[in-house]
Amino acid sequence: MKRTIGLALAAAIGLMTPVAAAAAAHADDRQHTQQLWEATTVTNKLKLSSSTRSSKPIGSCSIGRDGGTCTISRGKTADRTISLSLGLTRSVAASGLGISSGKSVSTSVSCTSPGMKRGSVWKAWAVGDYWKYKAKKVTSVDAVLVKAQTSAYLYAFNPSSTRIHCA
Amino acid sequence: MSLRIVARAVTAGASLLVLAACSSSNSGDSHVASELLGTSLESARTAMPESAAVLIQDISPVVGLEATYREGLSDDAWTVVSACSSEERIPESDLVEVAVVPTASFTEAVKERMKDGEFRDAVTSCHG
Repeated sequence: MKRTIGLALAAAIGLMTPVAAAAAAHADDRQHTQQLWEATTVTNKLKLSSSTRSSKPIGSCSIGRDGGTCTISRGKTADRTISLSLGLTRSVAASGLGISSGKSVSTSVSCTSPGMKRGSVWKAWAVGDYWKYKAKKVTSVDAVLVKAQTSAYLYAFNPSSTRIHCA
Repeated sequence: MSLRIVARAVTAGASLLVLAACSSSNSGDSHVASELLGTSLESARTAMPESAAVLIQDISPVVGLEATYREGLSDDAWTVVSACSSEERIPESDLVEVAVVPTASFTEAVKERMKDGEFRDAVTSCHG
């Protein structure tokens, strides 16, 4: 009973999905509809770092004159990356990690280079949290677990809107 | 014979397509934002969309001064002498780059140098 209620709750919040219904005859000859459920959630999550740099710069500026400076102003956009597997959706993964599922973050901070030679390039990178986790998919028939799968480690980068690294 | 004619037609068609693609696409071009020239950085900022990324070059050495610009400190004390945008119209641009000098040093002589395009190549990042 508890399991049935649990499955009903999970289905209600979108974690589980009824996949197919199949008719089967029981001993008492009454028709019974089997309920197949699949759910994929985040498991084994671990925050690897709170100060990871984005793999690509979010902005760059080529110094225009010898001795000049460049300020990379706020408003640069950083991508939030969330890896998925085994039917794990972006929103469920984000919820499991406790982060937003939005695809990007607009930075609200700026950085100014020191005086540099003409043609030198000043770059800015997003800084944020780096997570590793696994996707776990369970399959149940009539509330009985029939299969459990776990993915290899997946990774997510959640950039901060208030931190950038410049060099 | 007919195969050769078909091949020529296909080649000619492909060439026309390439020419059309090259001449009609302005995506990735850099545009001189001439309406910002000679205005204060404070005024220039009001013309930039909120969502645009902004690069500010302090090229004070061209007027014999050290570069000292810091964001958030008296934008009205700086004058734009070169500017570009990622789109032809600034309000539609996602990147605007400006080069500034202190307003106190924006003399008539510096203004003439600006009009002559001496600082035009100080901004280079507006290509998409």
